Amino acid sequence: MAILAKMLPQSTSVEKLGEEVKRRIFGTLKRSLYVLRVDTGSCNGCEIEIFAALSPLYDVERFGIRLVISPRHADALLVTGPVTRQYRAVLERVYRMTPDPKVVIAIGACACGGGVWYNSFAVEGGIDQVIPVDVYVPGCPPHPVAILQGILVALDVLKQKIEKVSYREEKPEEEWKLRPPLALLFERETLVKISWELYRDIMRTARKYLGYLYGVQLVKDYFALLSEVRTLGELREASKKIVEAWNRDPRIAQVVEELNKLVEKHFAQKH
Amino acid sequence: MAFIKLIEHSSRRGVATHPYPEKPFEVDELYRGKPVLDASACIGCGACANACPAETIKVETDYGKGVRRWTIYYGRCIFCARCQEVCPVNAIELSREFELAAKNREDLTVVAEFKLGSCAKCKGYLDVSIRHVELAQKLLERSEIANIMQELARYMVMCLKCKRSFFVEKLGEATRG
Ligand code: SF4
Ligand code: SF4
Ligand code: SF4
Repeated sequence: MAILAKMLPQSTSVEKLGEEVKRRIFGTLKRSLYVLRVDTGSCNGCEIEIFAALSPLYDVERFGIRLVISPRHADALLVTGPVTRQYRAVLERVYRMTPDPKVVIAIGACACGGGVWYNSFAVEGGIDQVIPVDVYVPGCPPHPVAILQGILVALDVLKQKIEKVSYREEKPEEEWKLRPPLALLFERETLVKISWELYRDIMRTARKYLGYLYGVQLVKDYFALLSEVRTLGELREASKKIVEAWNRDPRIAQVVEELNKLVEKHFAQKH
Repeated sequence: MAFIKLIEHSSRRGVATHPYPEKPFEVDELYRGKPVLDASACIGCGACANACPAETIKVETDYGKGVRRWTIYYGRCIFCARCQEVCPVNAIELSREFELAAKNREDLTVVAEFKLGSCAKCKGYLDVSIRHVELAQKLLERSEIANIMQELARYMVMCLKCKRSFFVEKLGEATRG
């Protein structure tokens, strides 16, 4: 028995949550929640994530939620896809065939609003153009945990986390502030006065080789360095520190070398 | 007797299931979740709206209220980070937030409004926000060709109509004499 006890989930609050789910579902249905997955022309990305949510790693079934294959058995519809024109009538029929009370959960960007195909002639552009939707789960595809959360939000077990954000500018002079790396252009005294053109070239070179994420990170590091050094020789020495900080990646070394060359070229032009 | 093996195996491995929602689920450091706008940095230029493949970011000019309105509907976002890539002031970044389930469409939206500048000639609304002009002026000061651009800087604070008429006037002057 000791072995079996080890295999059981250790947490009690998940159990409690399961109890809550059960109480809510059983209160209305007197049995488990049956879910039907409806694919209205999705790319299958969302399906893969739904099946991942069913896998032991995330395990929707521990909340007593099961997949069924007929709308007549279903209490909830997990709808994916942007609703192709061909599928519209089918979706309407599936919705009518599902006994009340029912919950409709739109999974993925396609179902929530058409995704990248929202204005295509061949799709309706979202589930809510055809049938009423109870919960939207954005993502392309959504993370299995996000799908789990979506189902639990639909059952009112979890609270919805996101809410509408509004911002209105009142005093334009005071409210606006620059963010790095552009802010660094105006904040610091540097070896070479960084002109807009030099900034642009540095940014362009770093991003050409490293992409938008690492490129911008490297530029931030590089600007911090530029404000410390006094001469070009020092710059060459100090730039080794960056390579050091980036795990001595030879590719980074090459990009830093390119940036050094840019600054030197710029320096030579000025004097 | 295969199931005995299974029991043995699972007793060794323990529980694989993540105890979500009891514990928060940690996604990867580079996970691309909800794009978050830093409204105090955005200039309302619309580069993100141009780049967004799902066209879920919209930037429009409301001349009635005199604002540039930035809106996003997260429902249609495909978390591609192209908005982050193109933003000239790095005002929008993808966070690691992924639990975005919402009960109505409204909750999935963000609206930000930026005041429009005023035209130096006709005193009407400019077609861009005050911040946009300010940024352009700031960058022009730091440009290597700032002195050449002085003439052009006058166009910056003119609305589209005035710009046109100003240009035509200049053109007329040039061709006449
Ligand atoms: S939301 Fe994305 S992953 Fe899901 S069906 Fe549409 S395109 Fe595929
Ligand atoms: S690109 Fe950046 S600054 Fe321009 S509107 Fe989008 S978020 Fe704002
Ligand atoms: S991540 Fe992609 S789809 Fe989402 S708002 Fe940005 S550009 Fe648009």
